[in-house]
Amino acid sequence: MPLRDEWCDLARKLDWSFSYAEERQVFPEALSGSPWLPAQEWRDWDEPFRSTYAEYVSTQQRKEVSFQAIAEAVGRIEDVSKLDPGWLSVVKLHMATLPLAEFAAVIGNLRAARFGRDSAWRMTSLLGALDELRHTQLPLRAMHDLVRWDEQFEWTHRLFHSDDWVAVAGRHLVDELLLGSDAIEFAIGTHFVFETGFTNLQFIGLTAMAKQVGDRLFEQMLQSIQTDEARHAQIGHPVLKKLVQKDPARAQRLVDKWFWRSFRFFAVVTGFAMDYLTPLHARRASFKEFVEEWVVDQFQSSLSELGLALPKYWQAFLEALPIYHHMLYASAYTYRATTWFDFVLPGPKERAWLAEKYPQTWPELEPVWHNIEERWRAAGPGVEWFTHGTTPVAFCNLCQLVLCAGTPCRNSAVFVDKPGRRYVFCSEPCRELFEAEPERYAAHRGVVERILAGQAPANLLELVRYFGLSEASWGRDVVSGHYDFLKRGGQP
Amino acid sequence: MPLYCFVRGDTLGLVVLADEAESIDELALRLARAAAPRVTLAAPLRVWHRGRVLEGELTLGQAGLSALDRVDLTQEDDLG
Repeated sequence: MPLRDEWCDLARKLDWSFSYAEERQVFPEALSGSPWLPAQEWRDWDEPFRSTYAEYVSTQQRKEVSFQAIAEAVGRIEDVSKLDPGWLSVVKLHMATLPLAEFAAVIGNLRAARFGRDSAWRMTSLLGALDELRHTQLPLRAMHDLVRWDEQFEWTHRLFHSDDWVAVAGRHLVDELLLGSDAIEFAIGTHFVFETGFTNLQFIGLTAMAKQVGDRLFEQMLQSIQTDEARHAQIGHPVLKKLVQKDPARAQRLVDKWFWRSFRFFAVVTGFAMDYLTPLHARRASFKEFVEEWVVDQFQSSLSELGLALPKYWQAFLEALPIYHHMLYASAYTYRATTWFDFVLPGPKERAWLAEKYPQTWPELEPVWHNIEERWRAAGPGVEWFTHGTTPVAFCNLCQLVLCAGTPCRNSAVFVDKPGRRYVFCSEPCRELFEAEPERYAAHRGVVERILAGQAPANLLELVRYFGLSEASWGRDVVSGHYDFLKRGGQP
Repeated sequence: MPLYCFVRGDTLGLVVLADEAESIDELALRLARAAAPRVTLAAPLRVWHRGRVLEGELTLGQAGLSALDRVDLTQEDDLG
């Protein structure tokens, strides 16, 4: 047996008995997670990578050198400024929503590195925490030099420090999943559902698109991050497997909840990118096709293998998949000054592609884009406000995203009255998740509650400033309406 | 009075601050304007509240609307 294999587990799989404290004190249920099981129940915990710290450092060092070389070669302003403007919005959206969320994941992983119930789990979580620190630093470093060229890149760091509605929604998800979860919920929600279930959309789908548009920096960054994620995401499966044996109802509940919440997140971050912001020639497949290939199939087989049912909101997810992100994008396009990235108006060719990819739902969305297009035509290029809303929008009290669920003909918002407060939810799954754990969510104040309490302005322009945006940073149409297809007699 | 508003054909819900003394017809026009970047409705318009159409001449107070109620706006020929 090679020396490495002989010695690896001596350090990696090293648990001991406590003589001066009870096991329950060392691993309190509130932090280690429910159900609380004695150490011997976790003794067979393992994951396939079995990295040592020395191997980890050596591998990461090589990856860092490689990424640094790419960043120096193709990450300068003169390189990035040549990229398609729609694609640059993909970069701005992606880079702002992920790095500081990754930093929260450092904390989640460190909690598991202390309170996970097996030493190998704790060791892998420690490496996971180092991974997530790296995933925070890479984008911050790569985007930093671009700020002097385009102020919107500053939002790579700024978003989660702001009260922008996307930040409010992002924090609501991230605070609960990464900062507020015990080690078991973190492992299932983050590693099994979010990372194993969904991040292939980014790492495979968006990487392919980055390659097509010639953004080598983004492509290499995602690939470099993906190899880390593939390792630490393995924590989820053995934790879920144990939970299925000991408390299958809780296992199912956690999968149900985090599947729905993760889908909402990716519908924005990846849905916008794949179906609208990426130029048509670089799209390999639609968001729906990617989800069907990389989430639906994989999730079904993983759950079946573990003896779990499909997530409770599976049907609602399948119904939302071909429409939810379209509703949200059209809404956000007409409130683009409330974000830090620019939006693409889909023209006739893009809409023909979307109609082909979404034959059941696009007919209800086409009139919305036709209306926006006609208003651009009436106002002329440069007149952003004529295709921009001025009335405050409504947000879901669970996901904190705009009430965009359902269809244009039937918005699925639901209302619930509790003593002293009315709550509104974009959909039944969001309502159910809220009502299952009201103590977690009831006190949160979203954008509308802040406006009604006088903490945020109701006037949209003032609200945009409250979000932390300025004229130099707020979102616009990528070409301010200068599309050939909008010109009288212009080519489609 | 803040109201949650949904305009038929639109992609999102809006929050409109309305006056209890304004009429349902005035509210309808306001909602139509608020959604205009995305959807154009042809008059006459209908305002729905708890499954019934509200009379256009009534004030919001007379129509029984309360803060944070849901109202829906449709064209007259829409069945709701």
